[in-house]
Amino acid sequence: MGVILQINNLTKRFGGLTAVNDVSFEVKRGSLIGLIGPNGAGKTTLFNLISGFDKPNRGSIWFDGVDVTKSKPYKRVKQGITRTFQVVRPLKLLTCLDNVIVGCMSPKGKIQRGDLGVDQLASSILASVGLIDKARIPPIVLPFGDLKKLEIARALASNPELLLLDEPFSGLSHEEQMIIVELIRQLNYEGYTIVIAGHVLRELMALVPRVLVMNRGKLIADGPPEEVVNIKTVIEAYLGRGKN
Amino acid sequence: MIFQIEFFVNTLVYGAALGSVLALLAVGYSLVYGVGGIINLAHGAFYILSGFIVFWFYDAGIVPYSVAIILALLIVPTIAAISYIFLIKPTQEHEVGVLIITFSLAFLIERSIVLYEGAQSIGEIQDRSFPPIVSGQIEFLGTGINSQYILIMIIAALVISALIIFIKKSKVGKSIRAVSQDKEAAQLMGINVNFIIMLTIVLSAFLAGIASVLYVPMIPILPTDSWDYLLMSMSVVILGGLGSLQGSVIGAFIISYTRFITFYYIDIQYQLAYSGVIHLAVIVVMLIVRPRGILGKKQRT
Amino acid sequence: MLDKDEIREINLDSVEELDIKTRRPIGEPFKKIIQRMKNDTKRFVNYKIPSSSSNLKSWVKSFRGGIGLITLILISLIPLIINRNLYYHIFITAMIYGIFAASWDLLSGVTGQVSFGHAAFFGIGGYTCGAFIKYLGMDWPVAIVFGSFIGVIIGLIIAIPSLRLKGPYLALGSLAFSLLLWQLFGMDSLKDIFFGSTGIRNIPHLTNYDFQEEFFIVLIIMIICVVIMLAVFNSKLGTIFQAIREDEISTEASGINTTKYKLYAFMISAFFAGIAGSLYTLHLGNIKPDIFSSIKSFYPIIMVMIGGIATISGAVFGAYFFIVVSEIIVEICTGLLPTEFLVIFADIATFIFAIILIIVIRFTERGLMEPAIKRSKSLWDILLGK
Repeated sequence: MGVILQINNLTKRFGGLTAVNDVSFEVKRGSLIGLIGPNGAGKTTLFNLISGFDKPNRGSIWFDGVDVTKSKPYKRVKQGITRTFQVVRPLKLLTCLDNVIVGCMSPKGKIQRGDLGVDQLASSILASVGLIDKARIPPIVLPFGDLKKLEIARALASNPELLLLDEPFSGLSHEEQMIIVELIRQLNYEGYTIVIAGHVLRELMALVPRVLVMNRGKLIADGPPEEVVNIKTVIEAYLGRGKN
Repeated sequence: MIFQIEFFVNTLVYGAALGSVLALLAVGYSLVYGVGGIINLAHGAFYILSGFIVFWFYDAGIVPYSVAIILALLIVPTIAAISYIFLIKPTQEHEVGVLIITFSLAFLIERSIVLYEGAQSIGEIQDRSFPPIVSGQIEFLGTGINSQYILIMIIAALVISALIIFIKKSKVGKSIRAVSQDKEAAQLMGINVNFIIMLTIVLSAFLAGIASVLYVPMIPILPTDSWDYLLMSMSVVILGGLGSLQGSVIGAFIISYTRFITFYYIDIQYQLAYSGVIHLAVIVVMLIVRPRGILGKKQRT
Repeated sequence: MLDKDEIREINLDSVEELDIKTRRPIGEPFKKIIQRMKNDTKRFVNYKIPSSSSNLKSWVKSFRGGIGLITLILISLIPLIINRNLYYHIFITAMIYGIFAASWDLLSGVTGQVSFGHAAFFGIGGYTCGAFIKYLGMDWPVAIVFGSFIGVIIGLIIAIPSLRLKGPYLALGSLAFSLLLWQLFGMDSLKDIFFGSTGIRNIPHLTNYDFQEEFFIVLIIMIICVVIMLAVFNSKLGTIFQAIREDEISTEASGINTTKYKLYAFMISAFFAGIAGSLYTLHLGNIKPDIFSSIKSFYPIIMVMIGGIATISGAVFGAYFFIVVSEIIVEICTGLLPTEFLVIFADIATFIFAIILIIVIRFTERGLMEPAIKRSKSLWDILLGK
């Protein structure tokens, strides 16, 4: 149960804008962590860096004892890091089943098959998020809540150790959010290490035992939700400085 | 000795002339791609269409030479605008669709010219040209150079400078720069993005027309030449960097001089025809070595 | 296709309800579902898995594959009824372009990597096959296959750098490549390597000009090629190809090395394009540099657009349609216009098709994916309605 992810002095600049500024933290295997911050804080950029979709200007990323800072996105999936997208990116014209099958065909995804067929594995993944009856239906005709679930199913298909969920609750009704919360809880129970990027949500804060707070690229807090919400800088980040 | 000097002068002058022409073509091409994300495969077709329109009007004797030029410079940008409105804009979302539709447009234009020419000359396609704007020669280092070449360089320099100033200083130019940086943001600021993109296409066709009107008198054109000019434009833009206007100008002269140096110092010596394909080799090599070009921006994921 | 019984069966037993009130993990995480499925073999057997791709037998039985294949074969038998050499020639040409168009569709339609210079692989296949048969005396089946392999390897020169990148680089690179070859093979100064402007002449014909026999050979080869390409399309490999087309970044995020698979698609496509080119050369008995011309790259694009992009079988239909209609146009022109204009009749046909292509693209919604959308929408309707 050691450290699965170690972020050291990670920095990413886009021209004049420093999106991620000297961020360092550790994630223990099996933990469930929230990453919160106002819009533009750098959460998605941080996810992009960890999952390989962006290269950092400075700093390193160590996953399971291996330096992954330079590897390509598909390689990181093979190593065990999978992410979802804030704006969902389903494969619109393929069936939901095919959407999941793609992940099952990846090197790491194949490992979890055992003696099951790919179709069967993909079906069970869809079943676990509650989309089995939409298996033959393409995402293009599905409601938004289902697309969010599909996004998670696709991530599961590649058999990750670390799951980076980017805003999995946004845009959903309360009931739908609760379903996703339960799904995440179940997955964590099963052993997945999960980092959830999002906003200060009642559900999120109640779900995770540890929260990282980002603002303007910097990591400004790291601790249990009850403590973090009371930190001055965190409050200021969300509400602004006020009239002083 | 004279042999050498003549080659040197020719290379210098012809290289500069073609470089100017390619700069006009490439700047327009790069502008359209940088602002609208559109790769216009009909760009070469616009070039030769301008040339052919001048020829047809001039040859038929209906209008004086200068009017023929003005007509070409008006008609082709208009066709470009119409193409944008009816063909390109609807498929703008899909890069693939734009490629295919401009490819088809290029074919349409090329085939139309071929049909018209074929009908005129009963099946035989000849290369066409028309008299230059300025005739006569100038002496330079003991060799005679057609004055038109000097005109080409001067006008290209003027036009491109005017374009750059226009984009930097004018209000419309600001809108162009805004759209090239972020389409959606520009739209939210009230800029009519579609109009700006159409404007860039019209400008690129206009520049291609100017290039054509100046250069065709020196180098005649066949309908099938549209692909050659397209690829030269593309090789310049890939060399200089997609989306970079300065890169296009630099790339234009590099390609042009490479072509002429190859022609005078390799082809003639060894009886080869490498100069005709050197720009294609440049595309292939650039894609392997440095796809974003010399001054190009880095690819976003 | 799932019917109501299947849906009911799956819903009832395999997915537990989530109790959101107690906030404790209940229900079985999916690994336990798999375990249960494995243990409970009886239910496992009855558990009707919705299968996305099918093997050959079920594909032939299914509506889309079977009817298409049978129709193609039936249409292809027309020349046998009208036993005239011209008709054999038309249909042989149509079948050859059918293979060519299908190969383009596999790379550009299914995988989304648009190639504007597919004539390059068509031509390389043709030249290598012709050279092997004429100068090395190879048997034609060996020459065709070997020639196509060489076409693939040469094509990798442009494919590897282009497909490494995300963007329209293959489109531009392939166009440049094919035009480069057009020039190279046309240069008389390089006659020794590239055969010059006259190309290769007097290549022994496939069946010594017995068109009926050639017709059957080409028909069989076409069926084999198209069946293989359809099998790829319907397989998991095809699913990955389509995923890359849909959203390359998303596919990479699922752990797929998209560059590798793009190269696979390219190699298969270039191979079959080479086979088509070889058959073309053997049919004509000679090959000239204009096999690399831009118009030859245009043909597969328009054929696929007409027949339906990303369907493979549509490419063949499009090829048949294009060739037959072109011939009809030429016939009409022969009747209407004086014979001096004979040279430009083919140009008229291409001109008309360029217009058709523009109209087709312009008016299909969502760009080029309309056939696929229609199919999936009707799927949804059927599930709702029935």
